[in-house]
Amino acid sequence: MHLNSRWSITRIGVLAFLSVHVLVVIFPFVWMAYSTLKTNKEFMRSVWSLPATPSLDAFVQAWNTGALGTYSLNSLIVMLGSTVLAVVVATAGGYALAVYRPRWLAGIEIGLMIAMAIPAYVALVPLVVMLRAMNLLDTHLGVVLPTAAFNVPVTLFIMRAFFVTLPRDIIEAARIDGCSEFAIFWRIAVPIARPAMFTAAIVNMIWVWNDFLFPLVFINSPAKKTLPVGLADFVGEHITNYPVMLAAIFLAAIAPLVLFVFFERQITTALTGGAVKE
Amino acid sequence: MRLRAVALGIAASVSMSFSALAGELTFWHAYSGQQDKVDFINYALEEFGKAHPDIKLNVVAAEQSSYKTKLNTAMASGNPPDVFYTLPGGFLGAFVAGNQMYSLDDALAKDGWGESFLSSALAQTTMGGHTYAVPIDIDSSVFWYNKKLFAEKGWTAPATYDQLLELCEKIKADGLVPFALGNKDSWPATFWFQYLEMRLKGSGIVSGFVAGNADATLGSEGTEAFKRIADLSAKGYFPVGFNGMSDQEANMLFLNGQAAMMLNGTWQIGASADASDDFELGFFPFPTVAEGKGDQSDILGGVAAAFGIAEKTTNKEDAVTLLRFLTSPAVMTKYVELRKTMVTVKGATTEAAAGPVLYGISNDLMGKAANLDPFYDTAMPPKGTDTYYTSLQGVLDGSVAPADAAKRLEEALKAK
Repeated sequence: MHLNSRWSITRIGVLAFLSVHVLVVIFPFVWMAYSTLKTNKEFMRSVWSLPATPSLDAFVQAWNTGALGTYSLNSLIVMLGSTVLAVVVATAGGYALAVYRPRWLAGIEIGLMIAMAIPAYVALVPLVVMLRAMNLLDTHLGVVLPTAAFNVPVTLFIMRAFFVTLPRDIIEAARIDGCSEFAIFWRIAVPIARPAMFTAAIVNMIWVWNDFLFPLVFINSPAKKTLPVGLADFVGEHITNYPVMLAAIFLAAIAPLVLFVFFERQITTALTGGAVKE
Repeated sequence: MRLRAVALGIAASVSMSFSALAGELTFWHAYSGQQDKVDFINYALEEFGKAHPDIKLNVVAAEQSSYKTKLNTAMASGNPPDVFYTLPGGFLGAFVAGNQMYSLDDALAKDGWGESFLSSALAQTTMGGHTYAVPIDIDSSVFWYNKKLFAEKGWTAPATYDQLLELCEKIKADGLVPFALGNKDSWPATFWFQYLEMRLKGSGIVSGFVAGNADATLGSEGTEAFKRIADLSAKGYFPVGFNGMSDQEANMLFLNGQAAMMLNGTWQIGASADASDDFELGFFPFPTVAEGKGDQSDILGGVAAAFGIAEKTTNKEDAVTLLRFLTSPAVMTKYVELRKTMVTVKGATTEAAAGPVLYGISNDLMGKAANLDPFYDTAMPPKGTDTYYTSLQGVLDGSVAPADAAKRLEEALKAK
């Protein structure tokens, strides 16, 4: 065999396949980008055509119609708040379940499973009643608390699955050295668990960023709306101005994109970090 | 404008947890998500603020489909807004059944307020003899066609059902789709069933079921109507894959000249505004059916939205003032002008505000119709609507026999 290692047939095949794949994945974004430059009339005439006279009107209208900046900030507050809360609770809980293996472990697990199976819709009315009693309706905290509560079970399972793989020898050694239980958790387990916590946090962030139901029902003030709820204002019942809607989505996608660019390395390590145990 | 909305929002958040004080009202509406809706409500609220500076409104807006979830939750948790947007029929009926709506009978009797509405419209928000909401606008469904395409091909608008079928063959032979239909959300095909039932048997069938009339029935006409729809579908008069296509996608076929006609609501006027120059919107009434027992001039039309007051509201006087303002002729004419939708207040749908197409429908079709039959799917209780939607989709794709569909629907309507 005397194939050029740089340009072997397999390699070319793989590259060709990946290029096609990349094109397929990227096209919707490219389409969205150039469609925002069209008028609704042009869009209606042909969905695929390039804009005849590119104009930024759709962006101007999108920016003026809603308060995209405010919505983004609100989404960020709700996302960070509920993610931090859920991950903190789940890390402590997952550690306790994995390391102390309480006698009623099976019961707790079944309880968590049941909690995961409850659809959010069912809980809406009781949640509104509770939030009103707590004076938390129409506040960000009122969205953060139930959102975190609904995300804790899954997050807890992720964290427990990680702590189960933690070698018990480390904990035993720390105990023998006279480390307190809290110090073992805080100074040994948590630092080791960082990649798992990051994974859990990212999963949470994606859920919360896209969540529609809780912010819709619990928030009334326009100034407190989150992005998905705010963006819904761009979708008409019978008539939709597509370029304006796409422009709004485009602007709304900038914030997560910037986050991703900044944290790309952490995100990819986090997602693969738990895959193989060295 | 945005600053004002934000200011209102902050005010709303501060006062939300307290029940509204005298001179203060929480007002929920679904006029969001569309430029014409937003323009209307901004105009109305601004004018209201000028006319009644002593009444402070805490405004909450949501887009139509999400609004329903939001309002239903608020009502179910015993936390209703003071004045709010609602749909007539089953949606309002559920609140009335829960004793959550304030009866407007006394207010409507004063100063001829009640007389200013079309009685057929007011009837759709009246239950058990009491009126619980004031109707705002009327949507109607008619046949739409592409005038330019018809002129080019030498086709004429059909007057009878048989002519319609003949025309379909011609259109198909020309390689075009006779009817644009995108039935993914289930409501677009309902106009077909309802019009056929109205032509074959008559108006007021579903209203009869809802009112609990013992002799209410779809009759053999129900099966016949489903059968005709199945025929249209089997002959390929609808676009390929119409049950998975959205109404807006189907509309593109119509606006681009790939489909010749569309049976759809008056919102088609707004939806056609951005069409290319090869398109001109025309309308004709649903054709007459030769052997039909119904009045052949009847029009499918019903109240699209209404406003009501919660029973829990402490400040009912100001709430009524707000409703009277919203349904005043000046505000309603502005509504017609901005939204190109007919309104329920007499004389407000003027030719100048409505434009030729809408005025034509209002004047030539609705003015001459013996009956207006409200939309079946919104008049029915929610369970009936589900059965209606799934049976119709099944008939269209050939998986449900017309006779079975009629039987299922009849049972669902009887069960209430």
